Amino acid sequence: MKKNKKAIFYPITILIFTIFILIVALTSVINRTNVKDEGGNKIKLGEQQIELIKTYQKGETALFYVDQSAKYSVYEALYSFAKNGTYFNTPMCSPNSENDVAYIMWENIIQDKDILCYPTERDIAINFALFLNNQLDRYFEVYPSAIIPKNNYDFNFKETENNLEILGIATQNIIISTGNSDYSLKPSFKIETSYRFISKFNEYVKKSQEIRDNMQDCLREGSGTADDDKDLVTCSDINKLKKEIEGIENYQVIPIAFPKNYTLLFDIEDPSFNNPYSDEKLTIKYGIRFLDKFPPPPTEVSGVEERTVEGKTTTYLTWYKNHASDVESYDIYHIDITDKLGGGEIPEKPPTDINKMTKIEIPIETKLIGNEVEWQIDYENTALKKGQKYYFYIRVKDNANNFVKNIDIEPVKITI
Amino acid sequence: MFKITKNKQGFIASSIVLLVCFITFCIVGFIFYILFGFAGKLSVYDISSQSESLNSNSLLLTYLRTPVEVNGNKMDMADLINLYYHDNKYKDILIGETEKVLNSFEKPAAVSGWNLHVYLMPEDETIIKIKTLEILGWYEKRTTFAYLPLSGSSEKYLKLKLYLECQDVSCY
Repeated sequence: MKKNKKAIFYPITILIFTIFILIVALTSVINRTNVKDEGGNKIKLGEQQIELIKTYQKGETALFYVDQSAKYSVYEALYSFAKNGTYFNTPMCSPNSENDVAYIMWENIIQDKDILCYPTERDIAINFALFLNNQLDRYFEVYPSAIIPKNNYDFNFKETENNLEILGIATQNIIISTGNSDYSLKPSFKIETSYRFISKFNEYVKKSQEIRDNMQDCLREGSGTADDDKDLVTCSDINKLKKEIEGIENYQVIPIAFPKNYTLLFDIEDPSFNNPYSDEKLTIKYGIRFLDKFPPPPTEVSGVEERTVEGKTTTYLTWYKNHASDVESYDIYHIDITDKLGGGEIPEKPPTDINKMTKIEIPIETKLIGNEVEWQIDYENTALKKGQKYYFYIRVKDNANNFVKNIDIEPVKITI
Repeated sequence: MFKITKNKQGFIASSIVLLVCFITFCIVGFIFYILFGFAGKLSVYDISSQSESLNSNSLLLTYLRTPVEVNGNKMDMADLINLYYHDNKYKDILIGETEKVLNSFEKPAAVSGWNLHVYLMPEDETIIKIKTLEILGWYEKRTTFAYLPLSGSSEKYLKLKLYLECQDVSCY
């Protein structure tokens, strides 16, 4: 009887034990949705994995921002690059006068010396990289979701037949912190553009040097126009220059002449440039300044003229106005011509050496009449004699004190 | 024999106890079956809702990378948004192309649709709201954000918000 009573409690004990096990199991299942992280904080089931994926996505979003920034930066850097004559920072070629403050000089004069700053292909690439890094930093600075390192890129430029490929290689990674760990990713990018700026600017450099040479030749010969007050303007004739830079439709040159040098300021609008994100045109600005080392062109003696006023006759030596715009003064050279016994003259031919001629040392006061310059022959204060035959030669000095060292045009035989 | 009869009475008593225990066991088993099922569903729901939100981030990037041709130039939707910010003439093409892309995204419920808002930051000024569905009493689900540089500006940027507009609270 006693044994049977004990047997009744056996299934009850099993039942209670089973309920206990189930409660423990249920608690365990519920607790499994609230697991702990490495720091001992309660987190939900899968939360760490989801956070990890979210971090990847945050990185992906940051990389997308970098790619977009790179696309816009390439074009915006090109604008700054072109406006600054390709140079990011060049103290030797920096503008040094108020007139050309917005222009970087590719050739400049510092302390009467020519400084050449024509950018090489390497200069073009290096300076563009600086502009591009600078522009990228401006975009990265405002990115709110992660810290994108600044001044972070080395660039590789590869020009193909139709395109330019820009490879931006990041030197530092973007770090995205996820509680106890950091996610690091390299924000390198590759951009393609149809504007091949390296070969384009290289072409501008070559063309500018050609223009400079042509301009110097033109200035050396004079404008060829008697009434031209600004031979630089004539020599930098816009239509002539347009032909020299092929394919450039909108092209502007603002020549500025200083007493001792010539300055050409270029504004070139490149029609081949197409920014898909803006209608803004690309304007390339730069300047060239070179010393006025060119003596004025030859001056042609036209003859003598006699005028009688109130019974007094005055003789004038006349010559054609020099074609240089910066004529400062005229020097008159002469040599006597004597008749030889038995015919002929001494000298037999017009002199070719200026040292064999005599310079009139008194100040020469001239008067411009129409296209001719005249000087009243002073018989009293010079060695010139009335009725004598001479070879005359006129040498011109410009305002930069340039003059020919020897006779550059055949002296003219005149009896005064 | 006598002993056997006595044992039979004990047998009946223990059978009743066993029956009660069995029934109780079944009830307890059923209750725990419900409880276990509920606990499991809780975690599944939690993970699912978060993973759907993760998918929407991929959708937003897919949208931004979708190629589009504007003025003969090949670009993506992110560029088109930039163009629209600078010039209102791109509004129609932006709305048209955006709706085309958003409508192609999978929707979890019949009355639901993907919407996109663009804000100018840091002012938080709304630039455009493109909605493929607009209903009264709606729920915003799977919200995700992305950022775009604003071409020509170094101080401002664009914030994009993509979300699912649902009529039903259970849509996730």
